Amino acid sequence: MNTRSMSRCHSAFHIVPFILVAFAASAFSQATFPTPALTGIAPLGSKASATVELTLRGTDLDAPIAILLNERSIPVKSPKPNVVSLALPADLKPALYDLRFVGRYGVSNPRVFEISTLDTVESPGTNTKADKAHKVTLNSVIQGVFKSAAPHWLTFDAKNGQTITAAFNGRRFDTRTELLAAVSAPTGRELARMRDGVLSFTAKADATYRLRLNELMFRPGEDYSYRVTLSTTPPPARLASKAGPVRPVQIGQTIQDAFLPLGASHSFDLAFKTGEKFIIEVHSHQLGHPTDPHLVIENLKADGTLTAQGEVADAPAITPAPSLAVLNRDPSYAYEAKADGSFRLTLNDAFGTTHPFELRILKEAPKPPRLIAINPILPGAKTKTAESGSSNVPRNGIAALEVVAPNRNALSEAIELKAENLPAGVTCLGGFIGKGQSLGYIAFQAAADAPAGASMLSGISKSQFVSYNVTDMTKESPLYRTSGAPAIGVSTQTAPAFIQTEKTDILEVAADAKLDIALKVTRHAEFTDALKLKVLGLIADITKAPEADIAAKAVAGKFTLDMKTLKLAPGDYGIILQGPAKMKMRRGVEELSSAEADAKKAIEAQAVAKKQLDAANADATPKKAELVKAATAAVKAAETAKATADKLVKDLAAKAAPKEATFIVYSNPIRIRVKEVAKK
Amino acid sequence: MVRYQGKVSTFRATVPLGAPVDKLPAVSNFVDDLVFAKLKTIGMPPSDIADDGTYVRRLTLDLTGRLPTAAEMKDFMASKDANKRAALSDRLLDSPEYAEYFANKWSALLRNQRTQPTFARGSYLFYSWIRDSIADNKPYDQFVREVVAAAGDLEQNPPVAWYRQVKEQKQQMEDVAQLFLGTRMQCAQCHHHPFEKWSQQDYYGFAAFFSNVSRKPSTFIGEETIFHKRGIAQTQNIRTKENVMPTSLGGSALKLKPEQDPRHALAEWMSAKDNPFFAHTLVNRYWKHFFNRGLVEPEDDMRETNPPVNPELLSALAADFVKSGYDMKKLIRTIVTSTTYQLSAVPNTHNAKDRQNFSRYYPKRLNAEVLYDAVNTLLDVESNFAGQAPGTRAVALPDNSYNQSTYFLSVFGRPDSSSACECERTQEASLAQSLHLLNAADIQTQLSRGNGRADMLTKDVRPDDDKITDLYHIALSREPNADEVKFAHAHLNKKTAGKTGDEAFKGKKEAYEDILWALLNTKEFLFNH
Repeated sequence: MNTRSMSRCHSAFHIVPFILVAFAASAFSQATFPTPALTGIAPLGSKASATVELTLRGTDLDAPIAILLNERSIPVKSPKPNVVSLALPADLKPALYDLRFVGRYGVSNPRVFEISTLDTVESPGTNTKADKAHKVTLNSVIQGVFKSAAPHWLTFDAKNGQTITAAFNGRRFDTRTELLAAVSAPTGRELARMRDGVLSFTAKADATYRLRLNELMFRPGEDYSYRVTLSTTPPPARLASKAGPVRPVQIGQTIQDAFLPLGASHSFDLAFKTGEKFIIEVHSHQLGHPTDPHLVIENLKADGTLTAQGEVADAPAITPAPSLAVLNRDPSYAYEAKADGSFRLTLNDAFGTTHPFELRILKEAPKPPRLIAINPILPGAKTKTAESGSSNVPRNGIAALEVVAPNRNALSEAIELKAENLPAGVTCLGGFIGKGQSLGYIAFQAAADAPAGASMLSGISKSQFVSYNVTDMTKESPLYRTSGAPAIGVSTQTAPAFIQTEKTDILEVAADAKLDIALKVTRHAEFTDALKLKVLGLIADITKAPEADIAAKAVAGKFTLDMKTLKLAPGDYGIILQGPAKMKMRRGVEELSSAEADAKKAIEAQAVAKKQLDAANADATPKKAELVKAATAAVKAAETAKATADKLVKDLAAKAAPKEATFIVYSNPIRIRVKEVAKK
Repeated sequence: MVRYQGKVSTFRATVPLGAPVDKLPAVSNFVDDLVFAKLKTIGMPPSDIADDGTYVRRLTLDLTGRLPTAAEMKDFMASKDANKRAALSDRLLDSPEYAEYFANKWSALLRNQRTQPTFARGSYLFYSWIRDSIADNKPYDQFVREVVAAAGDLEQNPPVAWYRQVKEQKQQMEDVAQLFLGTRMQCAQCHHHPFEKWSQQDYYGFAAFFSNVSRKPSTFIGEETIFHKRGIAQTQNIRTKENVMPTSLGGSALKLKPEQDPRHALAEWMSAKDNPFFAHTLVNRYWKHFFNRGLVEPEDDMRETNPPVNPELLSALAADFVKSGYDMKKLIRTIVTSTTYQLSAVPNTHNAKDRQNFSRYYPKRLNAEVLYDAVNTLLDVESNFAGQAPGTRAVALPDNSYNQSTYFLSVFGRPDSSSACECERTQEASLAQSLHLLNAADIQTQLSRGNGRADMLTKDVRPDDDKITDLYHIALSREPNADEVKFAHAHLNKKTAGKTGDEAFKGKKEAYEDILWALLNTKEFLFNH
């Protein structure tokens, strides 16, 4: 029996239209500093307490240390490049997890990994015709890769009356696979097909049935893998709703129900008193359902007449726009009652589905606030790519996460951003999202000797990622996944520069004045270039955001915020400086040092072998010939070992040659308070 | 037709042939009752019943778009089961090939077009949904509702793809009217046709059902999410400048609440038991699929001045269809198990010129995809379409994009899915088609391919008689007659006379290539008869 827990791992999949991210460059095509990126893993799951050999595809997967499975850090061994072996803890519950690689350069993006109680069967890939179907048993997990443009055929035995479910539960397991499946009877008649990742049917006879799996567009390749659970567990029943009379609802209450078919509406009456504040929130799309809730709010008079109060279709746009669009079709509405009254709430799904929803009438914004972390990108040149990213703090440097707070409104208070459960050597510099605002930054600093490592943070409940890299977003939509809490890693690479404001308290300025902010820059020895940093978090159009220019080799700088130009309303704002920094770096230095040490040992061994040969040649005993033979062999072996060691040193030296890389540097978070203009 | 003071009425007169109709085949169902009644009235005796070989080929092509295998043909012919023809229809209706073939039909009608590369995924999803709906035998009214009232994202609700192609409100209305109601409303946009029932007011009233269809950016590049925009559903009549509420054809204006999606009201009206258009249109369309001629012709132009050739039959089929719960498989079963469908295409002395009374089967050329697959079957070639599994049949292609890459399909008239009219598919013969079958390089290559049919037959050690018989089984679903065998033998001998070893092999292979080439160029092969 396999239970599923989606809530932690990923609650929503979004494919974001090109237009929403077109303005933004992908950090990881512009920035070329090493940061682990996983583009594929195999297998896609396993059993608790199993020792699994995981093949990793991706970049910058140097010197594996551990695998993070959600918050669990599991040490690994690496028998060969891009393969890690790990012993899965026995207490892992069956669920979908976020699996991350941790190595020298920090932590990677997550990929879905399933822990199941069922045995795994590999689809061999030769079962591309019905008559070559591969036999599987019920209550097993089938894994495979579509290596050719052909379906995979499987057979299984079922008994009369048995309910069979085939589920591609992780939706896509961060793969490109869009799986179609069909079960057919021995006669060839199709009995059931997969919908929304689930196929369910009841066998009408004892027989051997055929299961056909194929990729929607028959696309082949390593990116087109799948993991299907074939079980006798029926799929969970869907909550169904019926039309009924208007229901009363109170402030503080949450109603869980499902939308009515054909777009029909539910109605609720909400009474309130003078001075009461409340927020009406609909949660459905955010829960991962493909819905488009529509909320109509009308004033309900005592005589039963209704007058328009508000109509909300989607959540308000997040400004400034985050690096990855956070699609949210759930409406919300905040209200402060000036008098006693009642609202008639009418709620339906514009898509006409019957998926579940929650109608929450909140007294105040939820605490802790719902936050989504995103890896920020370098704004600037347009690019067509969408790449998976991860957040790693370089030694002696700062890294930041964008944090989005959805469902913000006029009643939303400011949020102090904090995170705990940090990797060793990392401190949280905090961050801030202003009152009524939706986006902020939280920053982290790593000590000069922080060890490589990573951990899943607490304090921010969700994160958003690209499921797979897209090289041309005009031709292929990226697929984003809202996942569990973000992870932060430490990279053993030292940051080009450490940038901080001279003053770290709240900087106050009048709404019509200018604010000068002084900066201190601690440069890495190799880094002497000028810096051009953007101020993030203030205005929507990032191309018009203020900039801080720091001259080449300078260890100080300043920038000015002109409140008249920025037209900021009075209040507190959290900003951060971010920009590119090019610096030469060497990769694989540790491996090179190790190889050089081995080469030195090889030279010493060669010298010893030569001495041994000299001694043998000088020997006057009857054993001379034997000694000379042995010593000659030893010299030859030592020469071979030295040649091998020298070659390895040469190869690694070439790889470790200094190459220019573009890093992303950040300042510490900066808080500014814009004050009302003093009346004259 | 009589016209008087803006009113129109029609009168239909038929001059009976007057031949004696003494012997009629046994009646299988009400279809035969009504067809034969008409034949008796006009004095036109029907042809004989088609033999088993003809029937199995005809039915297999009409239901699945493929030739029956030699084994299927032989098993069918050898069977003594009195109900074998009905059983065959059941088996074919349960096959995935049926779903693929009819999905091909509906995919074209629903304009499943790939006009941009980014549409590919949506096309596949929409085709997959159509195919699954047909395989599930989804009730027709539900199928139509799911298209017409589609909302949401393409990934979650593939019929939204219809709105991707049919963007404008008027186009949506015209397509729905033509496709599902057999009514061409196009002209009524600008004027009240003097011979037609529908006015401009009817046009805009019907268009108002689509007045609140809205779009917003989708989760797909270049695609849109479709949803019902809350508000009063209405459209302005451009002539009177008045706003018109959603009005069904021949019905009254509906006053709908702002949150009510008028498209659902349209779907309700269409599937109402007393709707005079919906069921009639579908049964007529399917009748034409099987008989090559609708009871109303063209099948999507049903109007007073274009009456059905057998109104009682049309009404009976429609009523039976509604009563069955819009069960498409049951409708098909009713049609193909009727004696009328089983009549031979060979005319008797009286009905050679019959084109509308169904006294015999009207042969029809295999359509482009079916012919392509049939040629492949005969030549034992596995298709290889881009983005499809090897061996995917042409009838199972998801959209129109393959027309450009496969000349055969375009020259034999595969539609581009740019219209709701089945007339977009051309069945007319052309010189280009003949030349292609006779001379095209790809046909020649397939004929001479190593491990192709000709090559395998040459290597086959069985007697030539057996192999020639096999070819006729595959191509024509019948035994060759003595002359045909004799002729084939003579050709084989001619090509191998005086040759030995490799030369003899080569000669024999060429002979089989010639026989295959000749077979696929025969009318008997090219037509469903």
